[in-house]
Amino acid sequence: MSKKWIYWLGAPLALVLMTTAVWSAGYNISVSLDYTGPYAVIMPPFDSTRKALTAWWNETKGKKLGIELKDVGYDMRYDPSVVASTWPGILSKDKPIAHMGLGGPDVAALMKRLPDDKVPMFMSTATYGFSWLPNTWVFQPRPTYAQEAAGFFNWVHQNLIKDRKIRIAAINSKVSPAYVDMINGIEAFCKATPWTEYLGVEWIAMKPVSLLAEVRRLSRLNPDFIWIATNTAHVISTIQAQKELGIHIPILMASHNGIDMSAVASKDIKLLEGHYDAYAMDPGLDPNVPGAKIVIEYCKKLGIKDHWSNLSVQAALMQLMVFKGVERAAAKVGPDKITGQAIYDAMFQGPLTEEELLGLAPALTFTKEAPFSTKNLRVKITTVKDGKQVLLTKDWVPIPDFPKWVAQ
Amino acid sequence: MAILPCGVHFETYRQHLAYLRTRSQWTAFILLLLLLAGLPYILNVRFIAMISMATMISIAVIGLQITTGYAGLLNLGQSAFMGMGAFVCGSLAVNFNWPFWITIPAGGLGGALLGAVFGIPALRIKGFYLAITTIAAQVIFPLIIMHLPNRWFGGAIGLNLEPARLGSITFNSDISLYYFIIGVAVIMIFLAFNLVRCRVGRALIAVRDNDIAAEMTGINLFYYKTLAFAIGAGYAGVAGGLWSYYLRYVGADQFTLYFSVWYMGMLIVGGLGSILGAIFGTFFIRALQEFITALAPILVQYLPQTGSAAIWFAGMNILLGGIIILFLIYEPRGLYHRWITLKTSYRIWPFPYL
Repeated sequence: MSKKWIYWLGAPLALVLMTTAVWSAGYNISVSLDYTGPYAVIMPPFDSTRKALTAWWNETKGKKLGIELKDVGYDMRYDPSVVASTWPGILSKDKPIAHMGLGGPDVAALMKRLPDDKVPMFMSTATYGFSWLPNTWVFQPRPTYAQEAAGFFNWVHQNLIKDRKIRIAAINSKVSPAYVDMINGIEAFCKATPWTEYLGVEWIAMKPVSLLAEVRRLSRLNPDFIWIATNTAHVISTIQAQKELGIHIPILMASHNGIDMSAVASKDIKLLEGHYDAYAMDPGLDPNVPGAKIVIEYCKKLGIKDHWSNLSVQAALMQLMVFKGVERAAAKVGPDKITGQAIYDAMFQGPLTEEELLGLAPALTFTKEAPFSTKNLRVKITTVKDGKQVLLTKDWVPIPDFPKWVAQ
Repeated sequence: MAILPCGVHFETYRQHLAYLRTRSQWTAFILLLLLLAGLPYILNVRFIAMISMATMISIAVIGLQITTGYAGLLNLGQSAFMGMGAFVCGSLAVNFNWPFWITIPAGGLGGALLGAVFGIPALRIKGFYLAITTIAAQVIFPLIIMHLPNRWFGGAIGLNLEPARLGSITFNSDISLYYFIIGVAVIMIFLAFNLVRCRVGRALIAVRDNDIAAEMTGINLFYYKTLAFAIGAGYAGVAGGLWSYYLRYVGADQFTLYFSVWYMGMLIVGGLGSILGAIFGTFFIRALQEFITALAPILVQYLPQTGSAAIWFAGMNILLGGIIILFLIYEPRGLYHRWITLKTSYRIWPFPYL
């Protein structure tokens, strides 16, 4: 009888021990998903980016630190009642060290309890004035929608309209406090900025049949730009109304209803010729940005389709902030002692550089005063030129300072 | 009136009308209360949070049962009435620092007032036409909140609340909030059971069955129809008050038509015209929702062959819809009817028929 059986048993045992040695600590990151609510359409790029970046981090940084991160997704249906009732179970079962939220329902349901639960939440949407609160345990890579728009108008002031006031009008809807907050923000910006003039807003329904009357009314005020940060239906209807009136007033869009999303909705990017979008993150046009390269490479490795776009950038930013928090916490408390509190504290240890964020956002410096970085705010601007979405300028454009419009 | 075991008889009218009439009924009721009190020691906190949320929603659905199930008035604005209650409760707590035992009833009153306003057209219109006017409540509600001065209801910002407190007890943990919600729910359910058996309840049932005949017998239609809306919306307002203390942040976009439709679905699945039906329907639908929320990540983890999580997550919604459709086909009278059938079968066992 040979001793072969020792090798047969020993080899797998050694493998298990090796693996255990490599992954000395494993942590869960919970994720709010929405496959059955209004944001089901954006889930494929969110899903592929999340898988790719988790695989990348575990294989590169995680292995060195002896940490394996695992993300656990829950379909919250974009419903605060589902988030509120699911969250205690997530806490007890998964014991997450961080949570990645999708939007308003996560903030509404968790904002007040996160400091007690000691779990920081990371999101990638722009912020709203009403969530601009101190000590929220929420971290967002982007400032408010109004600040992102202000960044664009700053570029216009420096490059296009230098000798007079920029005349700004808006189209928006009163169905959601978030939308009303956008208008409050842009009003505050115009009030505080001498080179702008706020002309007014047309409040409309979420799915308008025609915006002819509203656009005609706005056009009589001679605006230089119409700001629409609500949805793609508003953008497309406004462009159609302009065509019927034979006018062209450039529209400024946000990320969620921006050029790529409106082009998908209208199935004709040429319709968006001469219009703009601006937001405080990379627009996902260049596959050579370090973050894009990694996601594309790891999607290929994992055999999943990559959907690189500004939606992927949003998904990636949430994760990169979590990764940096974990790396900093590991350095401070040790890889096997990472907690939500350690990650929360780590977020205030200094700026996250553009390199650390893989070129997908400008440097972010978090303080306890706001859920977003309030220093050196910057945006990127894109437009449609000759039927193609292009960056207006390769550099980040600074956002001018203006006072907070929401008194808490 | 459900059948009773052989030999059980009553000597007074009061005994005959009592809800709990036999010793075994009292025993079952006390056991139920003990079970509710002991659940946090038995169940995982996940289930406790689920029960808290379902209980909170069931108060709003009981209100809908009073308006729709008992008075026969279609209402698709229950979520807006709940929102009104949440904002009134939140505003009083934030601006005046009033305790929850004043703010929650005041929230109920706020919901009731808004409900009464939208109930007025019920005198002239019925059915789907009435449903449309209640949808108007749903549309107008966020506008009311956003247009009133910010110091009233917080406007677009919403309201941030401190946790409810009773002496030295602070209701800020999942367990303490469970007891808080169960306590309020027991009171509201007790009131509902009695309401539907009293003069008002009988009048509402008469209005539902034939409003012209009801008027002929002396029932003031305008009064009772408006009252039905006010009471139903008042229940929603109380649920909204609990919601505001549960999340501690109230925003106008938390109370949408989508939820009103779900509440109507819970009512239909539970069974129209019974308080227990409203509770059954709410717990059944919420349990299904929670089940599919929990099941999908497990399927994604253990059956990754599909290549995309979307299939499982979206498939869960189809499963939810499918179960509800099957339920309505095979038990259109709702869960309450199934419960009565079960109870009767147990009482007459081993005989198959009455």
